[in-house]
Amino acid sequence: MAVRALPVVSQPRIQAWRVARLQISLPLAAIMTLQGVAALSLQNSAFQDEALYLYAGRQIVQQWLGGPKVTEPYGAYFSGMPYVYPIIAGALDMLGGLALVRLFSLACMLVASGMVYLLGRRFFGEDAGLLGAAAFAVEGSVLFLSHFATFDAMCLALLGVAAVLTGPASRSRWPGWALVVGLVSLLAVASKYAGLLFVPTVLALLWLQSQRHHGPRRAAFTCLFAALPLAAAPLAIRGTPMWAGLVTTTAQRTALLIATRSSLLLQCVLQAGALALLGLLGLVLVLRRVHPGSKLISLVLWGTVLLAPAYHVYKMEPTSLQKHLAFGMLFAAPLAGCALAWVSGCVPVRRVAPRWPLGLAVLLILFAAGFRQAQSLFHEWGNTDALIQTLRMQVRPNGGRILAEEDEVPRYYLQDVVSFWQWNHLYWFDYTDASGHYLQGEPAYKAALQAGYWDLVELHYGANASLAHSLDPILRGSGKYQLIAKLPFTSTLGNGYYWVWEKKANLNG
Amino acid sequence: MITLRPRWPAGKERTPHAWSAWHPGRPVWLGRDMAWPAAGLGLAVAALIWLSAADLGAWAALGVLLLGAAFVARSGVERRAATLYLLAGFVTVSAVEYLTWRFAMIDWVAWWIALPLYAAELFGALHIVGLQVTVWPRQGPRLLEVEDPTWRPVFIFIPTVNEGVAVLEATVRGAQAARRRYLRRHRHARVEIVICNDGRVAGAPGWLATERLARRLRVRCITRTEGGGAKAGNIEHARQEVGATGATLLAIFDADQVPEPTFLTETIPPFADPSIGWVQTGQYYRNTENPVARWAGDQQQLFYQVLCPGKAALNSAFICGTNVVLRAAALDEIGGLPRDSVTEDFMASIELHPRWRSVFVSGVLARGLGPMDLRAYFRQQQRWATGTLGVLRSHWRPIILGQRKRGLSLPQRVQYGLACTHYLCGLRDLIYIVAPLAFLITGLPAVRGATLAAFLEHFLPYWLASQLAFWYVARGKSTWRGIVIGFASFPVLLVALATVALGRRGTFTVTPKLRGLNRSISALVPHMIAAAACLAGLGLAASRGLHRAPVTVSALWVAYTLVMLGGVMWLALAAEAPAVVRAWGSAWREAVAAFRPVRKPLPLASLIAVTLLGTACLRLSPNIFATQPLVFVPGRAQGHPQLGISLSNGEPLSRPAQLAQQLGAPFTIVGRTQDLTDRFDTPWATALAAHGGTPWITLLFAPAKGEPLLDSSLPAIGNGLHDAAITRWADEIRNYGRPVYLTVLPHVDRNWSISSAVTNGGIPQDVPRTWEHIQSLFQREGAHNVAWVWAPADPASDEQYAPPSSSINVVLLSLISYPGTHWAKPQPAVAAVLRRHPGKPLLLEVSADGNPAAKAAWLEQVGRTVGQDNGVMGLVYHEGSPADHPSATDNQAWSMASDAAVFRSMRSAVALAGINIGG
Repeated sequence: MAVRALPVVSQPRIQAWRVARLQISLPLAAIMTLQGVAALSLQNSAFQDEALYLYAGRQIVQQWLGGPKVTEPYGAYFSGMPYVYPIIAGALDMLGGLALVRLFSLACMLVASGMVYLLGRRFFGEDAGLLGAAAFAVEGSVLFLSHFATFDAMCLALLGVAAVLTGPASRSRWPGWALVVGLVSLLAVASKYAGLLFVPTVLALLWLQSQRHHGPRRAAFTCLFAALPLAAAPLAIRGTPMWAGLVTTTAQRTALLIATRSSLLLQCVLQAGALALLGLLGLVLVLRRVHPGSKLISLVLWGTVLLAPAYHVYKMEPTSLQKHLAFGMLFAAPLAGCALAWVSGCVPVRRVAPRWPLGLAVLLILFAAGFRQAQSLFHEWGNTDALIQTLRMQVRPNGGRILAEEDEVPRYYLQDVVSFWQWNHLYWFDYTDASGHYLQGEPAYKAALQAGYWDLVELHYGANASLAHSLDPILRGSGKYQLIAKLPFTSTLGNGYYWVWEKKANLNG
Repeated sequence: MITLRPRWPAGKERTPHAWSAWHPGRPVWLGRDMAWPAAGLGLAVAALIWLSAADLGAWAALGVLLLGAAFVARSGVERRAATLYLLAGFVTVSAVEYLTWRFAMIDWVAWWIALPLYAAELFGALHIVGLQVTVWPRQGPRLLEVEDPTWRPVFIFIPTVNEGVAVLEATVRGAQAARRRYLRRHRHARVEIVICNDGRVAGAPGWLATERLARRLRVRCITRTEGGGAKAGNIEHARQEVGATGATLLAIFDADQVPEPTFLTETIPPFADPSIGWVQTGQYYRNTENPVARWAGDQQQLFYQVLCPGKAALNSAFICGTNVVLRAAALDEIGGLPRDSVTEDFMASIELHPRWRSVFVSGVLARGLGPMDLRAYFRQQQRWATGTLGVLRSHWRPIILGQRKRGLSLPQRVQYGLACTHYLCGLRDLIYIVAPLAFLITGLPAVRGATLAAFLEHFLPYWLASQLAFWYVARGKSTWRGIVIGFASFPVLLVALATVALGRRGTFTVTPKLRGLNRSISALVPHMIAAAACLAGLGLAASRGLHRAPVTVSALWVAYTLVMLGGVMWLALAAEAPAVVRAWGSAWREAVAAFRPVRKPLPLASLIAVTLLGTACLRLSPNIFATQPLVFVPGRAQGHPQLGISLSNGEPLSRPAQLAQQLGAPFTIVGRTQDLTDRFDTPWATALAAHGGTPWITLLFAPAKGEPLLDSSLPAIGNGLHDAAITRWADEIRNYGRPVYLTVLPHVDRNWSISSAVTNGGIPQDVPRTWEHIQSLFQREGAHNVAWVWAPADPASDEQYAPPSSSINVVLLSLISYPGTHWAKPQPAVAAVLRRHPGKPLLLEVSADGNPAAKAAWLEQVGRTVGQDNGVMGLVYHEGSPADHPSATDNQAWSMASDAAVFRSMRSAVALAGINIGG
């Protein structure tokens, strides 16, 4: 009987493989450690959006667990599906609070960094991948999202995964891979509708790689297959509140805040300019064949960095710009890696990169700027610890109603004591006064204040400053309310106070 | 005329592993290759400026370490080089970052100390970064093999003055051994040994003996008859006498430096490259049984084993005066060794280096005698300091500014700059000693506007980086002894600095090779003064209070200086009284040997692991090792009511013991009021328990200073605002482990209460929720040894406020009888409460101020009531006034001992109550 020998891997080969793995995993671990530690150092109380998504997520999870029905139409104004990220965040929040949800964002962004590495490695080689991941990981926008509990980190990670999956999908003859790319992209878009802007890049990468392996016709078929889930999704949600959310928050968005185009452009340059510039250098290097890589893929990757700025500049919308810039960076970072590899002397491929300190110097400059930016972004909202503490001295379960200028944050922090129905905010309000008149907006607020409708009122003259100011005379002059706290807060956008008023009847006991 | 016979084809390259020399093949800073280094330098500077401007603190260092690690791990460099790269980056960035921050923190008011201190720190940082520049891993040396240097005649010069023939003979014999080995290998070679005898001109008594020694050992002796030029003059005189010029090679050994047999075979080959001007080797001491020599040797090794190879790689290894081989032609070019400097070797190097390259051969190729006592060491250091500082004074322009034509290269200028300024460390050390003392004395800080946290954030990475970087390169080569002895020389370095600054010329003195009696101790007067000042400074710091961060930091600096000074004095003692020190040393070794089993790695690791684990467990869950939780069920003691006392504000804790003694009955319940911010007084409670007492704490949620009154409100407590403090109290009481009565929310039904249900945002419905919230925290912490005492102002009609009956262990009825008021009758009051809270033990607290006779009678009524009703578990007298801030007179008026008659009636009340006075 013939005995078939098993293949034997010689010891030196194993060692060489291990060394190679170590040479990759160590740098990647170091990069991710820096990203993680720097992100974890960003500390502030919950941002308005974070509080909103976490609160909504908890409500939905509790409803699924047999709790009260969610009455708020979150789908109508969320910029992502309420049943994707918010439920993950809500469940995590129930387990470990905001800190755990922010850790989830960190995990997502670490995955995104890993995806940059994999993309860069595939398109431009090992060094470009690693250096691209490093450049991406230290960007201000990326560090900010790494500790920010909103849709963005998850969407970004999924887009990265989809982009990386275009590799096996393009090589495989089995169309299932393309479907996986489409489903992951769909999940990314469901996480955050703005992810839709970057799906064409994923499909373009799939097409460009597929046509290299199987020709243009087959590539078109693969892309079509990948696009199937994305095409089917609108049909599924059309007519639901989520469709309205998709349209109002993303597709036909009306800018919440208006900024001049030049100021938005400047912001883009300041926050993503360095990486975009490095990416452009990488593109030039590839186009001039100094660095190996596909010209078309490079063009697609670099072009993607322009999408978010173009959208925001066109809409004149500054909201979320700093977060959306990170999406473009995900695709442009491998090209920045090419540039860094060239600066460091890794190109042409050498065993020892002779000019590595140069590359390190560039990365340090990026890190210093990025970390400062992230710190600045993370303090764009005032810390609410003192406000929450003051409100906590006043509220009781099923007690009186509370008017908070932006109620998301106090509502989130006080959810163990205060019920959903107790909260009102300055976005919209309707009220029927004692004479039976139905009022809306400012008159409604004024009438309710005159009637002592709220036990507590919190104003900080932020996004709804004009309305808040219009309520001042009643708070001060009606004799119904008494100022019990004026709590200072600072943010990178300016300083201010939280003014907390209490209905006088309460004080008299 | 000497004929040279080239043996190897011109241009052949060798890379001897033991040699370090500048690679002449492709000058990096020249030509087309200039672009990348220039870009690199520019980027590095930009990165440093950017990082400093961003004020990232420790983040900058972390960024360098992690991103650097990523790069280095990928770049394929070997581990040692990679570590050096990382450490260099770490040091540079953290140093720049720290100094930038420090500059902003300079206290310009106290500029007279702030600026020197900053300058000293800047100087220190420059040398720390300079060390990184020196040891930065560089490409190995490449030498051309153009000719065979063994055809060149070699002269071995041994200059001597007064070292004595015993010392000299060993050196000559060593030189002969080296010559034999060399000639055996190169039979055509010529080596002549010459003793350069300067004893006659120096007036040394043994100069004739030197000549006799030369004759005996059959070596040549050149005795000078006319002085001048010190060692350089001696060598130059001999050089001319024997013709050691032109194509010859000249090896120089100090009289005590005994060459190894391999010296010539190792040092001559590099001269195959005609650009090599000299080959330097290290100095190592062979008399390391002497403590001073051993410590000085440690310092020397740092220079010869760490710095010199690095300097050689930058073509900056300078001549160190001994154990060196020089190309005579190079010396001829500059007119021989300079005779106007006490460090002729250093001066000659600066003049030679623009045209000649140098090689440093590592390894021990000669061994000499180190200084035998501190005075000799100080003399040596002073001479070297005077010489190099003198060179700085005379040659600062070519070193710092450079020369346009045929000057030193930039790396050479950096290295010479570092070497020249090294001896300014004496001034630096003086400033380091004086600055913290100046702050402690005057109170004027050199640093202003910095918090301790900010200081640590910027200083710690820098300190950590510099320590790591230093000890990484010094490990196995130098020890802390080198640092201490280097610090010891600060007074003589100051003298040298003053000598040079005043333009005086130092004199060349040979380092004594014999030990003098009591020399070290007398040389330590400056150190003793410094130590005394440090001790006084520490005393001053202690008197000012070490809780202030600047004082603590200054005191730590002073303590560090004191440790260094202590090290110096120990060395002096070891040098002067070796027997005593040996005895101490052996005792120490025995003590260490006793722990040898523990020093084995595995048990030690286990010990550390268990300790860490244990500590972590204790920190995470302090009740892991607690005894079984005690569940406290309050009630009467063996059927008898208990007697208690509660103290008003201002009453001393010793008061119950005094009164119990007078009363003849012990208090088994002792109450006091505490704020939430206080700690549970475990020692007090333990002392009480030792005498059979149980503590009763009334816990108030009084607002901390600056906090709003609302902080104490019932919603605030119920909503968890004070959970951390309540949990701490629960932990402390649980850890106490014995019964405790606890009252929270006292008089919650009245508006005078801090946490009131009728004012300050509180409503009656808040009380049960708040009460149960506090209890739940105690339950969670396992504090079951608490009896909860419900203490409203009116427990007979507290329906609106009371928490669930199941959550109440004891009900308190306080009958506080004010003067001029109608005093409550005890019996009906007790009955009403017992009706309202059936089955609950009642604690009756009483106190009165008024007519003594009425008070006495009332107290007896109280006693009778307690005695009659089994529902009353105890009688507690509230000792002192119930007012918030009572005077001593008030307290006396309210006391149970306010009057003799009152006190007697208190005794009667105790008896009537049936209280067991047997304890």
